[in-house]
This record gives sequence, C-alpha cells and structure tokens, in this order.
Amino acid sequence: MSDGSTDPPGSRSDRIDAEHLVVRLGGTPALDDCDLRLEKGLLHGLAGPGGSGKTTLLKTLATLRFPDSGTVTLFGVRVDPADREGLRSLRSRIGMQFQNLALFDFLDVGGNVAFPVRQDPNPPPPDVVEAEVESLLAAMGLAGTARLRLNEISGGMQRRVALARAVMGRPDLCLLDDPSSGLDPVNSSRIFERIRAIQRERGTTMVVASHDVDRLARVCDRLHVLRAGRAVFSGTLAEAAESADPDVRTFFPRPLAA
Amino acid sequence: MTVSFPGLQAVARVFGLLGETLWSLVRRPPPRSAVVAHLFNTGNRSLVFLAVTMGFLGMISVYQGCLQAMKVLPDLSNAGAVFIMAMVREFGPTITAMMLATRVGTGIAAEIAVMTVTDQVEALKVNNTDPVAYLVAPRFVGFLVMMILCTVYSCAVAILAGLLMADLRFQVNPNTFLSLGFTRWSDLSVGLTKTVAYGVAIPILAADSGFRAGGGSEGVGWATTRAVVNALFAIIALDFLIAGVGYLLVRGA
Amino acid sequence: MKALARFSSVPVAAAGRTLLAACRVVGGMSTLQVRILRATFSADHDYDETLRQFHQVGVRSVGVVVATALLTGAIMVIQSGDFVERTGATSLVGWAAGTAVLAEVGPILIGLMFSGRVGANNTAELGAMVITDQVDAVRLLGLDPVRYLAVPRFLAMIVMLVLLTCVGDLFALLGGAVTCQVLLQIDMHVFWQSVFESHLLNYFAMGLVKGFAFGGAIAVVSCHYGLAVKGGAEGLGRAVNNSVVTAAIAIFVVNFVISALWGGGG
Repeated sequence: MSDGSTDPPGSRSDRIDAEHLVVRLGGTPALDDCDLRLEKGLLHGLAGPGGSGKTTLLKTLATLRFPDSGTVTLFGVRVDPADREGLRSLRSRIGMQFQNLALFDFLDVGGNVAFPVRQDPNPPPPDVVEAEVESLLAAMGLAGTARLRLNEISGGMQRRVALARAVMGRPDLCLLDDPSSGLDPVNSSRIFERIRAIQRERGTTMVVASHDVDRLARVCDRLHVLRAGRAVFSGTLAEAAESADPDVRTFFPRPLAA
Repeated sequence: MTVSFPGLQAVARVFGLLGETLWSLVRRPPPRSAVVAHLFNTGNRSLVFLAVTMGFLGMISVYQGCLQAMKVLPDLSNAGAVFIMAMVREFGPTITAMMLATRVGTGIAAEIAVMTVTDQVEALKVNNTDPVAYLVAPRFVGFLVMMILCTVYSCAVAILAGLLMADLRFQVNPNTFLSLGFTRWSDLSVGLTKTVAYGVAIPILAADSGFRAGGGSEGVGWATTRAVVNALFAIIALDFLIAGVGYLLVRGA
Repeated sequence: MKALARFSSVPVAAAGRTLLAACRVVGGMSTLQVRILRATFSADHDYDETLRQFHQVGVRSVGVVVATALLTGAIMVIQSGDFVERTGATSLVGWAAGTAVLAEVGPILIGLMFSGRVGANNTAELGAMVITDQVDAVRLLGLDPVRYLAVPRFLAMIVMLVLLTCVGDLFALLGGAVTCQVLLQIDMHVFWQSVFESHLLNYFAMGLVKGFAFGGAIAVVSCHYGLAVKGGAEGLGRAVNNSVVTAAIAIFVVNFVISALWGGGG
C-alpha cells in the first residue's frame, strides 16, 4: 500500500476519503465500518460480490446518501448534510453514472449530456455547450445522435450517453456504477477503453464499480475490494495477487504469464 | 384499519414539501415553457373526461332533484336556482377535484415515481438541481391554475346538462332554470376557496407519493395507488372543513 | 415517423384515434367480462383465493370508506342546512341530506374511494404480476389467469362494495346527525325523525344496487388494465392511471343509468 505517499505535501485539498462509514438501508447496514482512500488523478476499480455495498458506497461518495456514522471527505472538505451551499459546491465537482443509467426520458440525447452544465447558475454560452456535447458524443462513438430520443437508441448506446453525461462539465471526481452492465464482451472492452482514455486525457479521479473484474484489473491503477460492507483490500493488481485474503485472490488472481 | 395518513410524521412531511415548493416558487419561478407544458397536460387531458362525468352528474342531479321537489311542492321554478347554487359551492369544485386527482394527480405521481425508482431524481440532485424546484414547482403551478379553470368549465358543462334535462323531461323554461336567485357571494367564495385548496393539495400529495416510491416497477404501482387514495380523502376532508367553516362564518355574519 | 406525428395532431385524426382506442378498451373489457362470468358460473372455484380476496378487499377499504362516509354525511347536512335555513323548513334537513346521501352522493363517493383504494391497488398488483411474468407462470401451471386471478377479485369487489355501501350509509347518517347537532344546532332527534319519516328505504335499496354495479364495473376495469400492462414501470403507472379514470367514467355513467331507470319511487 502506498499510504498516501503519492500525495505531495500541501495538497490536503485533494483529499478524497471515507472513514469508518456506516450506512444503513432500512435497518440492515449496507456499509459497515468501511474505509476508503482515493488517490487523486488515478483510475480506481471497485470490486466485490453482489450486495457488498458498491452502489451504496458510490452514492455516499456522491453525497446522495449520508452516513449514519463515519465521515466522508471530498476535496479536503468534510461532507456536512446540513450545509446546503457546501453540498452545492461539492456536487458541482462530481459526475456520476448510475447503475440503471437514470437518463432523463423527457430530454433528448444532447439534452441529457448537456444537463450538468446547463444547470449551473451561470452556464456557459449555448454554442460552447453545444460544441462540447458534440465532441464528447463523437469521442463516445455517438456522433450525430444529439437530437435523438432515448427510446430511439440501443441499450449499449444509452450506457455511453450516461457515461458522457457523467464526465460532462469536467468533474474532479467521477463515479461510474457498473458501466458495462448488460453489454457483450466487445462493447464492454470498448467502454472500459473509453473510460481509461478520458481519465488519462483529463487526469480526473475516477471510481469504477464493476463485476467485470478482468477488464477492471486491466485498466485500473488501484483496486479496492468490498465484502459485506467493508473494504477488505486496497492496492495495485500485483499486490492483490499477493494478498493474504483468499477472496481478494479470487477476484484478482495472479495474471498468467503474458 | 387503514388510514391514509399514518401519523403526524406524514402530515409534517407533506407540509414540508408544500413549504419547499412555495419557497422555490418565490426564489426562482419555474421556466415559462415548463409551466405551459403542464398547463396543457392538465387541461387538455381532462376536458373530455370532465365533460362526460360532469354531464352525467348534472343530468342525474336535476332529474333526482326535480322528482324530489315535485313531492314537496309541485312548483319547479326554483329547481335551477338551487341546482346552480349546489354546483357552485359544492359539487362543481369537489367533483372536478376528484376527477383531476384521478386523471392528473395519478399521472404526476406515476411520472415522479418512475423518476425516483430509476434514480433520475438522484441524478438531478448530483447535478445540483433541486428535484422540488425542477419537478414539483411547474406541475404545482400548472395544476393550480388549471384546477380553477376546469372548475369553471365543469360547472358550465353540468349546468348545461342539467338545463337540458330540466327542459326536456320536466318542461322547465331554460330562462327560469338559469337563475342565480339562490347563489350568493358567500357561495361563490366558499366554492373558490375549495377550488384553491384542492388545487394546492392534489399535486403536493401526488408528488409526495411519487418521491416515496421504492423498489422497481411495483413501487410505481403502489405510489400511484397511494396518490389516488390520499388525494381523494384529502378532498373530502378539506370539503368538510371549508364547508363547515364557511357555514359558521356566514351564519355568524 | 415525424410525418405521422404531425399528421396525428390533426383534430380529426386525433378524434379517430381516440375513438379507436376507446373501442379497443370497451371490446377488451367486454371480452373479459364474458370470460369472468363464464368462469364464475362454472363448476370449480378457487374458494381459498376467493376468501383471501374477500378479506383483503374488505380490510383494505373499510377504514377509508367509513371515514369518507362520516364526512360525506356531514357535508351533505351542511349543504342542506344552508338551503333549509334559506327556505325556513328545519324539519326537512333529514329528508334532504338523507335522500342525497343514500341515493346519489353516498354511493358515488364511496364508489370513487373504493376505486382508488381497491381498484387501483388491484391494477397495480396484477400489473406487477404481469411484468414479473407471474401471470405466465400461472398459465404454465395449466391454470386460467381469468379464473384464478380475476374471478375471486370480481366476486370480492361486488360483495364488499355492497356491504361497504350498507355500512357507509349508516355512518353517513351518523355523521349527518352529529353535524346537525353540533354545527347547525338543530336537535339530533329532528334529524332522525325527518330521516325515518321520509321513507328512505327505496333510496337505500337503490344505493345498494349501485354498490353492486359499481363493484362489478371497478373489478372488470381494474382487472382489464392490470392484465394488459406493457412495458415496465412506466407502463404500470399508466395502467393505474387509466384504470382509475375509466372506473370514474363507469361510475358516473352507471349511476346515471340506474337512477334514471329506478325513477322517483315512493
């Protein structure tokens, strides 16, 4: 483990972490004393069996859930549910792709992608937004779809639209919940490549939760494993393969000699 | 025993939502295009429906009323005046509200419930958009305005239908029927108060059910159901309150 | 596609579309009605499921119906009190409120409430079963979904709405009597006397017939929309919406027909 040694001194404002998180969903804890530390500018993979709390952890990092106990610190600021202005400024730096996409069905493709920027109190001029949307859609292989309705495009395309919306407005923290769910292997690989490319280009801190551990291992800088609401491993792929925990080794076995 | 409002907590939550909605309207009025869309939605989808229900209601009320009146006094010259008074102060607002609650209220609940269970509401939040200001405020304004207009329309339809029934079945002269002899200003103000109260209550209760939806498509069904019952019951309770207070005020005056 | 959309906004086309849709709905519901009736009068019944439905329908709706009835009686007394005061005939208050409650307002409001509580619930329940393929599972077991799902609900709704109308009428008169005493300050005895002297049995009977008819209508409408759900969460929301709207239309139309056929009576 790197123990934060990659943080240059004086960059406390970049700190993104969760400490001793407990989040209960209707009585049963979805997160139970969960610690997570995200290094800035890296692509983080989040793995774990179904029901281990991946979605809840992402939503808590997105300030959509507030922990019953424990703290979340984003960009050096402790999340405070009562501070509306503070939440507003934090959320303006976060982009999220939801597990079931949560695309707005009353907007077209372009409207969905542009939404994060248009909701700013003082949005950039429309033609700038338009150009940004076009270039983002083109980068996702969706050129020329901006005026289409959501029900006119395939499920795979909708996933890419959701991804485009999540990275629109250049958020400092980007949370992607199962971006390849329900996709065939070819499209899954492509979507992970796109995520990696965008992350490299922008240097965004990204967290990708996925069941697709092979592809996750291939593209991510750091891997985190959740089990029963607790983070049981954080580190690189090589470290995962050496882990003492058999579950972690099951998720990320030593790569075969390539 | 099932009660539509399980406890004070629910009442507090509903009034909280109402407060948030009003506050967001004061702070930043919703975009005109959104309000117009919801005005159109509320009104346009309800005109035929209201015409059918209010038409039948008007006809049968006059029919029953005239048969009854003939037993007591053989003179039907006051039938229209009484009917119009009852329409203005009681049945016009209340039945219109019940119809709009089933037609539009459930629609609002279903829309917001779908957005809740598919995480669209959370997507709004993470993009710094207040779901109440963005979703509830325009629907609230659209519903309230259309509620008032639809009540006028409903009364007109019911009175027209009643007039036809009175003329064709009981040979009451339309000019005699169309009499405001019994309708006083107090009746009009009671009717208007009811209309506004219903117009405020229905969209808020519907939105509240929608936001509380959980658990996939089944949750949408339950939320929609809950919206109908809550709205219908609220209408009857408000009707009782306003009618009672109105009666006391008028008698006190 | 776009041309079609533009064309469909032409009023004539829209009216035609509405008419066709209405025909489809009426046709579908008539077919369901026939299938339900045939299954009802056939030999074998799922008595357990029918009993369970009786229980559920009754438990779900009795509270809300009683509360509605109490308030309805109160409201009608306030309304007629106002009228009675203007004409000066205090002894007519029980007659005016009683007739309105038993014959028209009571059955309609109880019916609308029942439709919202039980009918909408029924559509949501059946719709959820359709979406999660449970209805297909029922078919796969060799059971007829209409016989197994619709018939028990149909019977339960008819019987329960008649009973609830009975109970509701009682509570409505009770609410009226209390309001008379408290709000109008007319002695309760005057109200009861006026009610009993007006020979309202005829209207009470008409109310029960309406309860019977409304129960059947709400059952057929809600089962139809529930079993015809398509397309996930949105489809389910739309189905519940359509179900309560159609049930409301049915209530007003059926009410008109029964009242008109029944005549003045007495």
